[in-house]
Amino acid sequence: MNKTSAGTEAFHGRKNKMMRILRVATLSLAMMGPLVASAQTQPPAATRANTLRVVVHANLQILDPVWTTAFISGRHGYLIYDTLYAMNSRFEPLPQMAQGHEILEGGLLYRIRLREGLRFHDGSAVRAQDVVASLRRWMSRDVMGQQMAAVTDTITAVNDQTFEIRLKERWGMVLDALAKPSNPPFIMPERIAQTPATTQVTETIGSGPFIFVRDEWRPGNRVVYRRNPDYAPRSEPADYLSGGKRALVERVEWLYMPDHNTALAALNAGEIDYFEAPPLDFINVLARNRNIRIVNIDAIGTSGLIRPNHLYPPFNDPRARQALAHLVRQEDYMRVVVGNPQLYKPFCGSFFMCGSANGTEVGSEPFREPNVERARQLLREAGYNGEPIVVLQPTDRAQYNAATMVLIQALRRAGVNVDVQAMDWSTLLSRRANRNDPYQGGYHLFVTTHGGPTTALPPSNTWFNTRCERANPGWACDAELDRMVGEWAREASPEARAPILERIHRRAWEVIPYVPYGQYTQPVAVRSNVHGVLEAGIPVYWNIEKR
Amino acid sequence: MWYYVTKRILATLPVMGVVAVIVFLLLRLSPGDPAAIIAGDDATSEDIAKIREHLGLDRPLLTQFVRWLGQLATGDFGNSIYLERPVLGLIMERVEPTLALSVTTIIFAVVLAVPIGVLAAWRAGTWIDQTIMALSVLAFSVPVFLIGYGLVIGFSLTLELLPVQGFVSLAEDPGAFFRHLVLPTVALGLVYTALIARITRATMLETLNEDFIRTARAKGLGEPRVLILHALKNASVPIVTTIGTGLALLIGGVVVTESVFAVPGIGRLTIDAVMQRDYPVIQGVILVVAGVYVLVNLLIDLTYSLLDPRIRY
Amino acid sequence: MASTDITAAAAIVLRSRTATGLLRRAARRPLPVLGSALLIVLILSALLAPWLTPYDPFEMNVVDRLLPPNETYWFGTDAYGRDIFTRTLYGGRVSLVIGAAVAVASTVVGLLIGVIAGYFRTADAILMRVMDGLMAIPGILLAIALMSLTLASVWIVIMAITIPEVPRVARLVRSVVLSCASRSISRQRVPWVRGFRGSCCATYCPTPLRR
Repeated sequence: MNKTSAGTEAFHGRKNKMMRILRVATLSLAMMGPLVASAQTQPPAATRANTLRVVVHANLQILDPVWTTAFISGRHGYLIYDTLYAMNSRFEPLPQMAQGHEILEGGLLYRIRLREGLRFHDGSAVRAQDVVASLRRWMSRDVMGQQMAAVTDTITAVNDQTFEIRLKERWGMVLDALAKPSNPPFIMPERIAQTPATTQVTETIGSGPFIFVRDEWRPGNRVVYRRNPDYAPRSEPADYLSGGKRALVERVEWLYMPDHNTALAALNAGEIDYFEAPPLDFINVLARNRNIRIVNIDAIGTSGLIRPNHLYPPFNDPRARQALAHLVRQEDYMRVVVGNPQLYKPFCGSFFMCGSANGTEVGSEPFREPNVERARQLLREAGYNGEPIVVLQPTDRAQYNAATMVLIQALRRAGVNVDVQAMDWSTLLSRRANRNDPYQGGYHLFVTTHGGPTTALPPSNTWFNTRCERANPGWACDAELDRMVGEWAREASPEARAPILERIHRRAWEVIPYVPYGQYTQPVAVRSNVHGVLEAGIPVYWNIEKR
Repeated sequence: MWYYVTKRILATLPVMGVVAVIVFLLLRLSPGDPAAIIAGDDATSEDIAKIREHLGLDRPLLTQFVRWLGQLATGDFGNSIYLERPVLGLIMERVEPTLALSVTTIIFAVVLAVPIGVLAAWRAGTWIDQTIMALSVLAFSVPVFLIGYGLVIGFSLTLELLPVQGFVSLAEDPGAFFRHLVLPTVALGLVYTALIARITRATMLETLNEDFIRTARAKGLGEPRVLILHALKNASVPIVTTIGTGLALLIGGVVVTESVFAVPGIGRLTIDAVMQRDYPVIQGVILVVAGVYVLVNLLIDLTYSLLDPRIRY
Repeated sequence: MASTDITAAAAIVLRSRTATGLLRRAARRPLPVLGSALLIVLILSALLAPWLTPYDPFEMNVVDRLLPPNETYWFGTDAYGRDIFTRTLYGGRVSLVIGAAVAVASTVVGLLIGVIAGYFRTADAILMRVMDGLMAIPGILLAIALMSLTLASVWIVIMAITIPEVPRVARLVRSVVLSCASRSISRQRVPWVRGFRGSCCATYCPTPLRR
């Protein structure tokens, strides 16, 4: 055989091999096709005009707003569930699903009647039995619910429309608890609410103004809600979280965009209508755009706090904690965390949110301006001798990271030896629950935030809780303060509560369960054709229309 | 050759096994605890302990591992801790965006890079070569997100030609599908273009210096034929390797591009799961991605024997 | 890529017998000279950082946030009020160290693995499957897991980047070795050591020096 035909044969051999491989590859790709396609369900076309597209601040993962305290799950809850009572702009609990209530037997019996015509998304009527089951489940999970459970004797459904809460002792917070804005007792059908509180509820049947469209849910990308045509709103106008919840758009789409610049560009281009949490440095840029409006939905805002570990020296001594407070210039923290002076107060010395009904600042006068000399003296008195102070720094949470850096610099400038432990937020959450010695897996200081009306009430301000082992990480411990808070809770009238509050606040600035570093607010940014954005403390999507 | 292919495919099992063990151990040894995250701010240690028990995280490591292996054997990758939805379903939802972006990016890169690299090698030492090399350094030095932002400002906000972000399924709207893919593809593709162009140039330079090229030219063959059929074909093994590695990396997920353009791909799924310690999702994704890498590398290795018949299996 | 530029630049320097000879050679190949010069400037600026700038890279001046470049702050300030020029210089230290360490480590290990895999068929099967597995592990997971070891953070970063990088280098080297090793020169019955080293050289000696 001559060389040419051998070469040609080899060439054809290789060509056949190539064809074979190509055939196999195409076949396998083709088989994958239906597999992939089955995972994508086609959402129906919806008009842009009646869809509200929102960029949310976090990825919705847990659908059970009673099981988790995640903010995003709470906002999801407000869309598809409803509550018995809700707060108005004066933070008074008003009936929402309830028709009204009677307080009998000197404050020991609450009889509450439901409104007529309330229905769940599956068509069934809302009955008192559903309410009782939902309340029981909530009371075993939520902190304020647990407080209520401690003073409650029984909760029973008298008939389909009425139920009763019988208390063991007088407690003035019942309606406040039922109207709690964060982690409220959402009402679910009885059979769903009977899921043990340690397990997530996965069904999403509520009685709220919107319905969760499960088929179009893409975790990590998009959540879709449609208007509930059978929802019967109250007749009053919407006021904060109370009043009539009229759904004025057909669809609400939540989009998760991890990059803020992308969300900003999308808002500018009109691809989205509502930016839930624009980074605070963007607010001025957005305000200059004629197509965009900045809306302040949260008058009370967020309060940042530095939490010392009360279990170990030096911060087990109140003098060291006071020293810490003397080192804080709130303006520094606010400049770095917030930036825009329109969004924060230069100083807020209240543990219960400046601007709220309980926003007293008594006792905070010595701490208005930093006093490094006094701080050093107090630290010496508390026995601090230059040992490393372990500060936990969450590098992946921008606001907490910023505040922590200001704290570290302030400590170092005062001559404190700081041991910075940088980690991601998940690691920090585990580490801050660790009761060990700071040098063996524990810590001395970390930074966090809280806010809203819940923080404004002493019993529901969880970081203020001074119950030692049962307190939040940091384990603040002061029996006297705890007793005073209980006393405040038992009173119902503002006149009785005011003097107790003042005493609580003075003591708080001596005992210092935590050091507040500033109060600020997060506005939302919407396109100019979006109207009816409610000042409700959190983003809610009823009352909003696009014109 | 089929014997080799079968041997390789069978070899994936021990690979996946080793990967499974490594990932499982890495996760359990990492600091950070999904139970603490779920429990939230106000949780006590008892709350966290109860959740750990509910998730099965308090059992001995070996028990947890065996349970997971048992689930895998039935094709069940488990449920996400947070979502309580099957991991495999979550991954399959992300396949279309990831594949779409990967395939368009690699095609864009290869179509652009190989001719550029050949050109640079052919005219080595001239200003064409110098310019191409300088541009390629620029292309892989500038961060992808910067290129991305620049493209968005230019084409989306100023010219209003293309959308800022998002992904639309091909089945839903083919026009929108392509329009949404243009900017991410260009932003991501420039990096791979630079890499592939440089490798092409390097291997072509070596091959063009070989004696057989001189022979081909002496025989009177046209320059394009010499360049492509003779030089490029013989130089192509490292080029195909780079393309294959690039494709594998793309499929594994490109977090930055996915974040900038809000494409719901596997990269974002992995990062979000890692930052929250969603163990079943992390384990499932890494296993699937390892399987894909094994397959892609097998295909690349098979193409070696096509391109260079001296390489035999 | 940078290595070929550096060797090319070194070749230019070594082969010039006079200064004018050097300048002439440099003018003909501007790119490698430019690249090497830039690298040297970068390294020097990182080394001499404390003398080039009076600021502390960590010091926050909260009043001076987000300023554009001006006389006081040459590159402006960031969101925390820190001077960006200072941070660029000091950050160069970290980046250069990590970059160099990762490049050296992944090249050395990847080269070794790639050559062995390309040359010995049985080793190929095992090593390459291990490499496939390693490629799949995300760097950030490695970094978080490595945090539980009490190493300095720089070493953790280096390890977390090198480990997924090694397989890519190894595959590339292996592919070159496969095509080289099949060439006639290596198929002769030479002692395996010479053939081995021969493959190494063929892969990594840059073209100009080989002539």
